Formats: sequence, C-alpha cells, structure tokens
Amino acid sequence: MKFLLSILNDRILLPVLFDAPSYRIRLKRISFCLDTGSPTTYIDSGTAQIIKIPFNKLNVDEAVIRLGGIKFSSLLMKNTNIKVKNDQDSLYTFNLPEIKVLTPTSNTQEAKNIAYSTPSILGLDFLRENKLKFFCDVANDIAYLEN
Amino acid sequence: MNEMFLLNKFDQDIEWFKENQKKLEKEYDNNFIAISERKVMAFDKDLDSLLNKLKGLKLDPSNMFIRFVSTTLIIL
Repeated sequence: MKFLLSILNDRILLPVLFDAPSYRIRLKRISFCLDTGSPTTYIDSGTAQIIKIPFNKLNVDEAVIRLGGIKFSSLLMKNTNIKVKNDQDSLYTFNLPEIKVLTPTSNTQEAKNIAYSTPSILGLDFLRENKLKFFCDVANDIAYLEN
Repeated sequence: MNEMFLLNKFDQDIEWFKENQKKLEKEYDNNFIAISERKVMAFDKDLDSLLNKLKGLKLDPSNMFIRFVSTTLIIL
C-alpha cells in the first residue's frame, strides 16, 4: 500500500487527520513534514495552538530539544492516531502510542516566530515503527511511503 | 463531516497553495496565511493575532491550511 506525499517548497508533506479522543481532539488537519534527518516525530507549537492541544494535560518529557537556535520543552501526548489517504483512495490509521509536542521555553517574540514557522515533523521513528519505505523523486515531483 | 472529504479538501488547499506559492510569498511576505476553499481567508504577521482574526470571522482554524510564507528560505 502506498501513501502519497506532496512536495511543497522542497519540503515533503504528509497531510493527515489527527485524532486524540482522550484529549478531546477529533479529526484535525495537520501537515507533517517528512524529515529523514530527524530521529523523532513531533507536533510544532503553532499547530498545537491551532488544534488546541491542552498543554496542561500533557506530561513533560525529559528531553529538551534545540531547533533554529532556540530551546523547546517537549511534552508527551499518548495514544493518538493519524489517518492518511492511501493509493486505493481509502483511509488508513496509524497509531502513535506517544508523540512529542514542542513548546518554546522562551516567551520572546523571536522565539515565538521561530517556533511558529517550524513545521510538525515526521521522523525516522515513524518509518521504523510502521515498517514504511520512503520513495522520493524530487525532479519528477513524486514521493510516497509504502508498507 | 466525512473523513475522506476533510482530507480531500486539505489536499485541494495544499495544491492551490503550491500552484500560487510564488505569488503568495510576494504578496504576504513574512505573514501567516490561512487558506480554505482555495482562498486566503486571513493573514497576519503574528499567529496569535491570525487566530483571533479567524475567531472574529467565525472560522475554525483547525479546518484550514495555515502556513508561514516568506521569501526568506527557512532551513530546519
């Protein structure tokens, strides 16, 4: 089964519906940027704000992540799902037992700007856990994941 | 709303952004833009202010394609 990816501004995007019933988040649209250079999958703080993730219900992860020169706290959401369209024009659900949500540790405008312009990332952990292969032909605007 | 309908609508907005990217980057340089139904519904330099504008327009930001556009290249 293949899952088509969009190449936008030389970034590879996977549009999904994000579902986290235990946090009262139902079917929210998120576009993840596939980053094979990232070991971990996370939701950026701008998206977290847009889909109204309740930060007070999340556990603080020990890891502090540095991105674009600023520090982020990492919070953990448990038992969430992403729904993705496949090449048979039906939906496939991936379970994410745990996903990080990033929030900047500093409240300055500069930190906010960097945090909000950083996309949500689908890292190598997602490909590994779901046994997905990644195919990309940028010159011909073709990219997909396959299981 | 049907899940497939939501995803298809999302795909259409992303595709529209892709087709109009250069124009949008020039017009809304260094702004967050909210796209729905192949239109820019609102924009602002600050995400919080954009979300307030959308709230004022009674639009749900989580049903939109919101993106920071800039002529400056952002490298992760």
